[in-house]
Amino acid sequence: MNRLRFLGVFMCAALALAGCARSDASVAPTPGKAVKVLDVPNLPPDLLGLKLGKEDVSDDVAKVGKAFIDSLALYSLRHNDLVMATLQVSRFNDGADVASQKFRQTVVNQIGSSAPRTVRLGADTVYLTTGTKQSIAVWFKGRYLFVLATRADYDEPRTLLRKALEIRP
Amino acid sequence: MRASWRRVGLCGLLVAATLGLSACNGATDAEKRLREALRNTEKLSNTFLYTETVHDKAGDHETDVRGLVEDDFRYKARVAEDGKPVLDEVVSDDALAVRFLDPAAMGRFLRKPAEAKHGSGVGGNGGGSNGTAATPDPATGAGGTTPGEPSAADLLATRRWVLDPAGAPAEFAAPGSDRTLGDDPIADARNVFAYVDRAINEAVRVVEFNPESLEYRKDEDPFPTPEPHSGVTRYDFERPNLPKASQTGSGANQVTPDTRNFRKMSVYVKDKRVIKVLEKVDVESRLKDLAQIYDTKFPADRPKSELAAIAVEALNVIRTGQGQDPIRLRDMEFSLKDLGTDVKVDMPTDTTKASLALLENRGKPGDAANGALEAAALRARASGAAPPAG
Repeated sequence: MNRLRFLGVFMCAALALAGCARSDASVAPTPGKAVKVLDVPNLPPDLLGLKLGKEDVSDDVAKVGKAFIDSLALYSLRHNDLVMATLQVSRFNDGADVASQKFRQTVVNQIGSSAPRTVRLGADTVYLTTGTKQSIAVWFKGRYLFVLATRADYDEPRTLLRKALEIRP
Repeated sequence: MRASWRRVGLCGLLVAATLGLSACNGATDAEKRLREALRNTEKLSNTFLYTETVHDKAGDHETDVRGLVEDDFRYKARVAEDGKPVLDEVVSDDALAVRFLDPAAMGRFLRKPAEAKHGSGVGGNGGGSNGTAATPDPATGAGGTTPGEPSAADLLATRRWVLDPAGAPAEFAAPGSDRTLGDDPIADARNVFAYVDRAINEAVRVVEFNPESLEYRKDEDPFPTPEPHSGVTRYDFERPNLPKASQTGSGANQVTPDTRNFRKMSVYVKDKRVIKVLEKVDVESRLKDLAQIYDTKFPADRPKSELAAIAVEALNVIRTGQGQDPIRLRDMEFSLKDLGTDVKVDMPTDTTKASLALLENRGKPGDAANGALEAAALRARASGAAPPAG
């Protein structure tokens, strides 16, 4: 796994958010250059033994024309040096109608390469989709969007997802 | 003067016709209410009982799956065949525990020789379906067990629990998936709501049960009427007519009747939650139509149930030849209880770890090839033949 692959997931999600601007907002979207780095407090040093590391994606974010988020953080989850998963946490800007099911579905539909499936884990609703040799889980918490992408050959994707759902931004 | 009155009368008729047409929206409302009930219910923990009775020329075969669901990644189920408990399965996130109460019935659940069909979603364990290479590992025994350790097949044969920490089934088939009904009864039971969604799409329309409707035929209704004042609403699915013999699809193939043409389905809803789903794939009531469309005669001295089985068998020859799923002549009942209660799934404690990739749609993708070998060896042992070379 290398930087390129997880960036693929990240860019996909970011562009998806940009695509929502046309129909679901009454407030102007945020230019990519204005998207800030998000600080997620109280993050554990690891999730299920995978070391959590913050990745610098400011250059990639700046290339996005417009987005529905105002801040973003991307974390790699590594076993030794190998990236087993990435976790992207984004905060929607004020123009995003986060509570709307239609808005959420629009966002989710633009992530991954297969039709998303909705599952219930505890009290959370999670949308599952797939990317190239990746399993992708998407969920919303208040104004925040989480995208967890795991390698298809990672043994514990569901347990990892369950752990990631505990993160409160 | 007379002509103008005639015009007024005509307008009146048009208004009446328009109002009549607007009443057709009721079906759409019923469908919306039903879909809302499905969405409300699928979020809830529950205990369930799924019963499927399949009819073929040899007779009736019943499969029951009863279990409890904490959430979509945590559930337990027991499968019984013709009333005899066969299999227990517990899933907790990635972990899967299985035991066979009747090891002789293991054959139905073994991994198929062909490449497993793909699953979807997180942790798809469909046999390398996510692009993972799945090659046999010569360093381990068949099925990915450590040499010297008992294999999953050995353990399962002695009715013991086997735990595969990363062997949970591939995520349940998404709508439109190519998993064949009946291959995996637990997945069928867990996937009933998606199946009902597809059935809604395939029906002509969904209507609320109304015994006073001009279209209602009591003699064609196989399902029970909701008790008066029970608060239960029944939604009925109207099936489409059979395709004509001359009808062709997108290709040159003749359109063959599909399950949708025979399906009778009713869903019972209480307090905006689904409590029961009933389905009958009723070929008997359409034997006359089939005889007309295919210009054939069914023998009059045979029971209708037998003729239906023969007709479905003939249709399935065409359908499978065209690469379509066979029609499953079945009655299905799915009942839900304890909706939204505090249901917890615990893994059994007396387990032995091994790969469960020898079972269809189970085990890690990386173990799939070894699992297929182990399944083939078991089949060969059961039939007294030599196992295929690895």
